[in-house]
Amino acid sequence: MGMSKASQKKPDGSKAATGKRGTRARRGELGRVKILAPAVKLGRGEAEAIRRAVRNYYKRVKILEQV
Amino acid sequence: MSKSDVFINCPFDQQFKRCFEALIFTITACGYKARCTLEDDDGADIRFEKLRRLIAECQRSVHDLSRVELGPNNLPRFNMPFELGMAMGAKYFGGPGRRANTALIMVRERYVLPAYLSDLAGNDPFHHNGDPREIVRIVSRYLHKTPAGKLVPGAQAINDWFVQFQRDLPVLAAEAHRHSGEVDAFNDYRVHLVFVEAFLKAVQEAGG
Repeated sequence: MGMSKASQKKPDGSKAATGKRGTRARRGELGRVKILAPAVKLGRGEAEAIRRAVRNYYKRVKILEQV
Repeated sequence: MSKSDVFINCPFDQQFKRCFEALIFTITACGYKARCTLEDDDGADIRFEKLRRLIAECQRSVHDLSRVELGPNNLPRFNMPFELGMAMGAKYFGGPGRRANTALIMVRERYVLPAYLSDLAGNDPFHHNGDPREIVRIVSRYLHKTPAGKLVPGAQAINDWFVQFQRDLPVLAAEAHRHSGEVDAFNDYRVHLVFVEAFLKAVQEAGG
């Protein structure tokens, strides 16, 4: 109780697995860069409208490629 | 001061435009925020104050000294070396919090810098020959890891995305009910950056 899983030890002295190692790699997230929103201000909802338009375009193109 | 903000000091003219686009694209693809004087069009803001604020807010800076040649009025352009001097002044005289500031200095041609800025003769600036692909390579190597500490994507991958972005931008603009002339990297800097961010997110979602 109160101990993090990483600090718990097995009877043989080795550390217990946290279950985290490799999980993100399996999901394909390893090395993935978090793209930050630019440090600029647009009109209300304007940036979100652009993001939505770009996202929808590539979704549509991808679906067309699969057909 | 933000560790994820990168101050850009470069010429804002048509000859440098493709290089500038490559520069802001690479910075965003590496997980950083590109910052420059174009982000704020407040006419009441004094230019020097804008620069001072930007340099104070960014831990990293990219300086391009490739365009200091004589202009049509037969005078050289001192803005870029001046802003580099401000960034170096912040690093060395800005107190302990600024010591970790870093700067990337780029020039067009190798070995030419000492001829016009001999005070930087001990520094080793990177030359890009006016090639946007070289700028992608130099800037991604300089940043080398994201603000979260992960490795940045390889220069080849960023170059491929950049080429695709340049090709797709007019279509993406139309999707967002804009003319291709309304997403210009200089004139519509803020809008252009949002397109860059949205494109890179879409690429990631597609597993690219």
